[in-house]
Amino acid sequence: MARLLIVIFFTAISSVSLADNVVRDAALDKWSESERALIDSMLIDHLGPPPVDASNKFADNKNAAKLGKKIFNDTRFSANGKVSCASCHLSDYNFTDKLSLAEGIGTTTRRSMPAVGMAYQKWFFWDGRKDSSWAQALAPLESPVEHGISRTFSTQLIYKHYRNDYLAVFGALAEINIAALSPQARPDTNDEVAMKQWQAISHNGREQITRVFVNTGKALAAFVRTIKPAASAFDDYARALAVGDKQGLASLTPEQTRGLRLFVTKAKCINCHNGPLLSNGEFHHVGIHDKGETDRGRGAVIETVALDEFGCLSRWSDANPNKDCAHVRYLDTRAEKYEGAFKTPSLRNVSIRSPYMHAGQFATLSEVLFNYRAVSGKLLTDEVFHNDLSDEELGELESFLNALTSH
Amino acid sequence: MKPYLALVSTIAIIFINDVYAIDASNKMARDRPEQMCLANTWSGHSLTVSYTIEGDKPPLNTIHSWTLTVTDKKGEAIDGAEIILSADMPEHLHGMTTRPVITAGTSPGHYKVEGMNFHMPGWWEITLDISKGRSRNLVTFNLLVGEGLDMKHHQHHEHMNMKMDKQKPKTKYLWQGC
Repeated sequence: MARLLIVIFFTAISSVSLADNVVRDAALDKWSESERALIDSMLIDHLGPPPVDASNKFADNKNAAKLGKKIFNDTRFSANGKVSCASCHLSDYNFTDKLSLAEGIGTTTRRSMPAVGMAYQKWFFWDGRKDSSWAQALAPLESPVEHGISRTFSTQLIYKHYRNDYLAVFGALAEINIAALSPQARPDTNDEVAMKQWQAISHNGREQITRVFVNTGKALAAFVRTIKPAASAFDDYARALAVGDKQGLASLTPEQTRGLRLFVTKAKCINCHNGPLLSNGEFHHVGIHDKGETDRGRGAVIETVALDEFGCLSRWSDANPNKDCAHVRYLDTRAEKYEGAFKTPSLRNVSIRSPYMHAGQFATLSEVLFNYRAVSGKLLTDEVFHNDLSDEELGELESFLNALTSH
Repeated sequence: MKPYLALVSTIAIIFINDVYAIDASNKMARDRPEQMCLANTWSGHSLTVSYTIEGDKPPLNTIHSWTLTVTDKKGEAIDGAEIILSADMPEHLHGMTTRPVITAGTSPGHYKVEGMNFHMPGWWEITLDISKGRSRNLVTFNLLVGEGLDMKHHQHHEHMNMKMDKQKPKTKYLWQGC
């Protein structure tokens, strides 16, 4: 008898949960025209092939991507032989790491950014101080706290270990006595010794070193360009909604669906987290306090970004400066608009890549959402509108964010 | 320390520690009005202005170009006008992240606007300050970006309005006759 009761009990439980899965409240999936349009605009299918990177003519060269992948994982490109790009951009952790502040040779002041979907970005780093993926890839190499090497040393490694791979992509490698040069030599106004050694190299030598260094960045960018996010439960839902597939709507749980509704309506997350990557790629102040020195973010770099040595408008770029590089040419460079502003990150796979914000200030999405509510309506965060959200609604938003993880 | 000194120093510390992103000065947030004109043609006493967008609708997060057509009341092209464009999101206290450049177009009365970029979905208000000789006009266009009510649906406006009436919208959108 007792056994029978147990069986009846469990049958009852399973039928309740089954009913919960099958019968959805019709109101849950009822959307207005504009809400449907907004949901559809976030669908990953609209990413399409990456836009042309006019600044890098090797961006879609398969051999360049192969070379880039090798360099990405090569720890010889560091001062201590232990740091590669992959040290902070872990392929099994959404191409970022678990640290609040990135660590290479030393410790940086910001969190590693996930190197996913880079082919669709206009600006790179939290402050957007680089305007192309290849220019971004070069900066950590010469940063004393990241890879800690020079363009001279990087080029010496290419000559020594990647000569054939390089020739296969870029065609020529000038015969200079690269091994005889000081591996510290680089044009760094903050490092007198490195600068003197750089200036001691002939003009032609400096040109050749920089050319190979630039091409190294372009190969790295060709590889990074291949890293894209995959579809998630949200995308299954959005596709089902678009074609009227009622069963497909069960891809999101009721709680996640309520979170999606908040995302595109009341919580207004979609203002900045829009498009198929759930990021507008722009810069916003979201009221995050820095520990120690205040980080000016975008405001510190926006006035000079167009003049960058490796910028889209520079002589090392393959772009036509009168026709391409629209994001640089038409940029509104008024720094006061961007003080303390940081790049909107993509929300794809966000729940599996803690910690969060530009200096890893929060360990959980729950903390992030609670903070957004706490800082809403303050002068410095006129883009944040979350002060009318209940604890329950924050929970629903968090559930929705969990549905953005790639299958 | 006297209490007010403590207050002053506290305020000073707040200002030293915080940096502010300011694009909101002299702006007041406005909700969507009861009726919003989404027409792409504006007619005043002395001139008519219209725009077309590269592609058929204002794209989200994409730098794109517009073509403006400016004619007088007789329909004659107006060339050589000075045009200052600004784009704002009235609900948000900010505008675009680009500064578009306006140059003479290839046809009479045409002007090319390069560097437009709408980085958020929603209501955008485009203001054109058009001067020629002793005449000056302030022209305003409304755009809804990413909400499915853009120019692509221009032909279906009756259908769209009908659907929206069912849902009792706060704002009535008009594409013509406004």
